[in-house]
Amino acid sequence: MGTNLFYIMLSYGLGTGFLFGYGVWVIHHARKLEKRLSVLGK
Amino acid sequence: MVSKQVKGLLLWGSLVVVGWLLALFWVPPDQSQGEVYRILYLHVPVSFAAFFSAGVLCWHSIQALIKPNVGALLSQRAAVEVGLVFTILTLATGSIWGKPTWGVWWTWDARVTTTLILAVLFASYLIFYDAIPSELGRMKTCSILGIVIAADIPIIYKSVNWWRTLHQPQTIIRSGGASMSSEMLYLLIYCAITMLVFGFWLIRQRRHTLILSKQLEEQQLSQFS
Repeated sequence: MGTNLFYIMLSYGLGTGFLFGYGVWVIHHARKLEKRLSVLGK
Repeated sequence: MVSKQVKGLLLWGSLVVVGWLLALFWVPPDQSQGEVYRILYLHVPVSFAAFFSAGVLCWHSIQALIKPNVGALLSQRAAVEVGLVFTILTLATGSIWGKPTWGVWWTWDARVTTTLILAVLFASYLIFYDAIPSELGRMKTCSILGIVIAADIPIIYKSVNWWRTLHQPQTIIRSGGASMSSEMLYLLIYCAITMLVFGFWLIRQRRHTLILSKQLEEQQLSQFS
């Protein structure tokens, strides 16, 4: 059970990191671009 | 103030997490695989989401070939990036599941190899996209490559039937019905649907970012000219 738990947690840890990490990066990148666009638009 | 994008991430993300929690704590262990089969509630949905991204890529590739437009190209790029994330996750979770089940982290099995080819094709699309300077040339090359990438999906799907492989055969869509108990099957369907919605949301957000990036580039060019 201990070894299986390690594999299960490793998988779900990677899943959380990849999917939510990418999602947060996309949102953060969009915000940065929006700010730069608003500065240029002034 | 919480933006619309953060709300979207929290909403669709939490629906995915609910499925994961049910997979970890609610469904009973599998008769033959034991507890480790719980990884499949992540592995199978992310592979479906990778296929879905390739489908979106194919649709926008055909659109761009029929009527060249920047919007279709940006949608392609967004689908490829998201597809690459899902494919890497499919390979990683499959490898982690393979170690306790097959006894190895990696094997050149037909389905695993064709999925690796999908990841390489997605990565090569990104290289071509950045390497071709002319917009029309980029659109043509990337759209053709997009259709080639989508052609790998039926090969991955049918690989377990066409070749003798270590990978288990189709368990959900097969003649004679699914070879899973109903509670396991319904949860897998829930996880797959929520992952597809989350994937679609990611593609849309990434497309929005690419549009902003394009607008910024055009504004900077107009200021300097």
